[in-house]
Amino acid sequence: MHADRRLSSPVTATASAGGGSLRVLLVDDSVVIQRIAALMLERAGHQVTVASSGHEALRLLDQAAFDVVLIDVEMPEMDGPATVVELRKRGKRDLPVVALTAHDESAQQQRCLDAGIDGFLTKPFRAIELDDAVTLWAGGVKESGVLLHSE
Amino acid sequence: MSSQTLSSQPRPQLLESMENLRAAIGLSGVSELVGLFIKDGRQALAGIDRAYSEHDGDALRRFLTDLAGISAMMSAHELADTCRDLAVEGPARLAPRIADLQQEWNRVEWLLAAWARRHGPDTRPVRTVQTWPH
Repeated sequence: MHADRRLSSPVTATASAGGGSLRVLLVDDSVVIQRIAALMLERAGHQVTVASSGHEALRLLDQAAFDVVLIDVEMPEMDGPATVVELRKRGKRDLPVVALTAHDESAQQQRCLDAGIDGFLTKPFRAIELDDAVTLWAGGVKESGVLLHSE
Repeated sequence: MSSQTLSSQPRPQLLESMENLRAAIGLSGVSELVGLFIKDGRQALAGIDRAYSEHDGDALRRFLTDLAGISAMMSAHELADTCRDLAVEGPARLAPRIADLQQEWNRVEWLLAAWARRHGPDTRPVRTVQTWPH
């Protein structure tokens, strides 16, 4: 695995997996990030479910099916990597998970990879980059450690 | 309210970015985000202050990272960079830079309030005086 591998911006894939709307679980404790990402994803035609914590995300994942998960790395109580470790334990081994990070730190990224996170999207991200991220990962581009970078 | 004027700001790209964001998610969406950002930002600043006072390095890093993330998403890049730097440097380096952090926050909040005023009274965030005890 290579935590520093990245797809140079702009990511060019535009075709949605399955040709359209994806079911996205967005996990972030920040209301600002929740709203901005949800607005971007909904404008791109995706269905967004928001969770404010790792515990809430796990509960939602038990109740409904999703095509891809976007998860904040740093959250109180149960952070992103801890949440992903738990969801992988629960058998969701093929569910694509993309971490939303504020840092471009290799140590943090390695911890994410070890937890079972598939890729990274660094803040700030633009609408097209967010759409590309969910489209790529839900479409089966599961090359571990790919960093979708917005700068 | 600060006596700054828009024309005196060295980095008006924040406002340009707000316009780009408006194109991406619409005026109502941006207006909502401005209010949420100011509310969350103030909470993060209070959290930073509390964590610093209590010598809680983990909480300090988390609040700084939170503020970095939302600031970056609102295109307040200098504020985001300051928060990222402080999150990496840790509590020992925070004390001499608290004033910088507070000043940058004030500038961003003022700019966003100005942007909100330009786009109608419904979008204006409530402004309160932010105090910093250290």
